[in-house]
Amino acid sequence: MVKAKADKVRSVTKFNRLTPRKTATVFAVFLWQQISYPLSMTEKTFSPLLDKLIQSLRCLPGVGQRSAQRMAFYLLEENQRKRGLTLAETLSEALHAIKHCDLCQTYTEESRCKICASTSRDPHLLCVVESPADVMAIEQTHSYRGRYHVLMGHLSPLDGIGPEQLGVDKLFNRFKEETIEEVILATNPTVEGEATAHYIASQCKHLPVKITRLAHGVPMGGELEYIDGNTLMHALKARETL
Amino acid sequence: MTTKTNRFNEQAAFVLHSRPYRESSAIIDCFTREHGRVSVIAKGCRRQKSTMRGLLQPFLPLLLSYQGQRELKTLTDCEARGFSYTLRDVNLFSAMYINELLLLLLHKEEPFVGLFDVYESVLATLARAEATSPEGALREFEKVLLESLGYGIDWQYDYKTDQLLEKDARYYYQPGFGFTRLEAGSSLLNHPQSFSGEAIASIAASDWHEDMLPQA
Repeated sequence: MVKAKADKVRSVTKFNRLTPRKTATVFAVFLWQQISYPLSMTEKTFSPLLDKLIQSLRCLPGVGQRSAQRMAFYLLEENQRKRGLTLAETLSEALHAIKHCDLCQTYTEESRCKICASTSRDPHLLCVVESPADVMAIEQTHSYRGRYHVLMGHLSPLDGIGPEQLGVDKLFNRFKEETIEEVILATNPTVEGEATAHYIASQCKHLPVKITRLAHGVPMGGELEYIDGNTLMHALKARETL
Repeated sequence: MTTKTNRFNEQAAFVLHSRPYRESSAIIDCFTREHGRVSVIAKGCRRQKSTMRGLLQPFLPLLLSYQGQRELKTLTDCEARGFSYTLRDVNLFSAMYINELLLLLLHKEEPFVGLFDVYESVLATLARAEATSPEGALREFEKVLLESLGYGIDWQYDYKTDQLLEKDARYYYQPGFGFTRLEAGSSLLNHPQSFSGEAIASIAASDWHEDMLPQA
């Protein structure tokens, strides 16, 4: 009788004994409660509209719960409301009106973007880039006076983006309709960008067009020591005679 | 909870595919020699000043160090192991096709040492053979890939009769089983899956003739 009781006590103590694993689990649960408690509280303390605003702001890249909350509160401050309203109106107007340029596919609210409509641009030169940001980058050099074609992406078979999805035929139509003498393939120096450039080049071979590709090399003002081997290798291969 | 960190140092590897993750990171699928296909997260590799950015490109032999016990590891270090294979036109597309095959067919963290070496030699062939057709190298790689995955084909025996394949007969390939002899006048003689014994023998010997390639 006594022995049975002792056994029972032992088994109970065995059950209750805190192993390192158990302590860690308890600690983790405690930590989780500490973290999740304020989160769940915030969800409930905000009014539905404010919550909707915060959640909508989170669609921007690099904006999480915290930043979205800060932005929402900032816009709701008395002296910022006017600016906030301007932002809202511009946002709505821009998202409805801005479409792709008929010729180069970059973003514009007109049928032709400024560069395509300009008469001072060389119509014989065409630079093919991946995104409107790349157009800006090349424009900032002030050394290119031709026109652009924005692909809005690159070929990536693994992500299901082939020539049809990219709309390369719009580019090929331009070769037929315009008098282009040189195509500069300025896609990114990644494998996908390279593949896109090679694809376009192979499709244009039969056309009387000069096809060039942007050079890969060392950045200006950099130190050779800190350049990655791959870039340096390309720079070595494409070296120039002085 | 015991903390067990699994560190993997300087693994010979190739990047198969990478996709952007958050603002400045990327999730990279790579093919390592010792551990097969591994997914790693490269933190901050898309930052402007990151030295990893130029290195984490496909077709560049790398030494990767990563850690983690879950399926997604964290990349800690990366350096080049050799020069990048410069691929052009058809060869570039072929190499991308190989990467796609590996990405879709290999199980995670299952080592394929032999396959890794063949992958490297195929890339070398593709980079060397500027103008020649890449088909030979591709078929060879596909053959080794099938064998490594356990779907190797018996190139020697008829699966129904267990007799040696003869060079002047025609055989029909039944997926999942193997080759079987076709009698004269069989409706399958001109089927895309029917081969001459000679073609089978040369495929088995990895002897990729120009005229045999379309049959393979």
